[in-house]
Amino acid sequence: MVNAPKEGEKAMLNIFRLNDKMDGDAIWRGMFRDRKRVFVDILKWNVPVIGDYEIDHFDNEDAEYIIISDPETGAHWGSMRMLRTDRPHILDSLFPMLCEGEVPCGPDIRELTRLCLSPDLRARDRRKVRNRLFTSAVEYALMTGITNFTGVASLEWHQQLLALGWRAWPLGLPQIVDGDQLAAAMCEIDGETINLFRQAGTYDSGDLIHADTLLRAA
Amino acid sequence: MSQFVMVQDFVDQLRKTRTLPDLSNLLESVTSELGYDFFALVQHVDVRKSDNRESVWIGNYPMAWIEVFEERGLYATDPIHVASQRTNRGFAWSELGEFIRLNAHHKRVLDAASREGIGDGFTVPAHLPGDSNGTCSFAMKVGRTIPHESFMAAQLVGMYAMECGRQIVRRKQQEESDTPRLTQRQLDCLVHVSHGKSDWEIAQILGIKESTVRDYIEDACARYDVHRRVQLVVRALHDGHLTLRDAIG
Repeated sequence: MVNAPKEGEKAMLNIFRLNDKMDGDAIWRGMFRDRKRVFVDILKWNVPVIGDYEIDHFDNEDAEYIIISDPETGAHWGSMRMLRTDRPHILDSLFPMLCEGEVPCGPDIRELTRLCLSPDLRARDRRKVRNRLFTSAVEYALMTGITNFTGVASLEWHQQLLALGWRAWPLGLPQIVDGDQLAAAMCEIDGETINLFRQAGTYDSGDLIHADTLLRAA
Repeated sequence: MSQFVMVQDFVDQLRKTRTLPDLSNLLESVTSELGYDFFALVQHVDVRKSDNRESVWIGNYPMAWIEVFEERGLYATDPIHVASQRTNRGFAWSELGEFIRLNAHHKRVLDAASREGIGDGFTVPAHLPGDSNGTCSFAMKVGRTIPHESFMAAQLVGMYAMECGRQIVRRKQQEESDTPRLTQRQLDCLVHVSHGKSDWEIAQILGIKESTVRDYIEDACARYDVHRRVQLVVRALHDGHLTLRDAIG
């Protein structure tokens, strides 16, 4: 069992690009391993697997990741992948039918994908790690000029995504895909978003360390 | 108008929706546009998190049905409510048997609803684990066919409406907790202060010591962080501790 960060305790929060220190890095392997455990073993998604890892062709040098790991062991607690929308991504490549109009894309729009919480987390820690992940995504967006996030999710997840507090709207009607009800949505990140998260009780800030800084410190 | 455009308009208008009556009006419109006759948005806050179980209920079910429902305490055996706990997906009431074993109690509730004019329906669970359970239901008058083709749009409407309802309730709770509370005795004194009575007079009327009256009023002022009684009366009126009727008599 792993313990989620206590109040005030810093979890390691990293934003990486794939070409930084891939091999032999426990944090990376932890994420890809938990992705397989969650998306393939538990959710039975039909996605490519390499050994113990779930990796697809969107895990390339353009992808960025937010990873929360145990500060002591480096064990993976939660992660999310951000894809550029001015390159092929999940919504435009796999699920364009979930958008009524044009698939939103541009240099300031990212797609959030592969939200993965470690199956080893206790129930109450899952919410905390999830809030940390989304808070980090918002903070990263504000720091780098990203104005919107898009995403595809099972309809069952939508209530929780809305409850984060941000301004969001649907991109099309939900559709049944491989027996699952999926829907695409977009949210807006602006000066109000952090307040909205605070009001919703989902704001949970931690250290944001960019991979470059880590490499220089190493 | 396409269903998605209806949903988009609805979501747009939700942004400006700040009160439950406004949310109710908005839902009533979109319900009708999507082809349904009735709607009901229900939210129950997790009992463990608050001292009293709060529920938000907005809708346009026939009044007679609401009365029957409440008088007979049908909530506990309402099969819709039971089924909604078992799934996160929208379901048609005709599919109830897939989620629960329909017993005689359940059937009685459905029959009672039917007698009051509520026929087929569709429910969107809108739960938030650890926070609240909620549902948004859309139903037809007895004898009318439910528009299956609106189910997907209805699910979006239900979910976004639920989130809006939650934010409205949360904002109200926040405002209420920001308002200073006054004790009954402080209020008793304040009513007489607003009538222009002196501490001595108030003490006579209430049968307590003059110094006690002064203490009550000073404490009340402290809660509002003001120094003068006039300020206290004005703020208490604004926050609803006093009504104009109390003050003017």
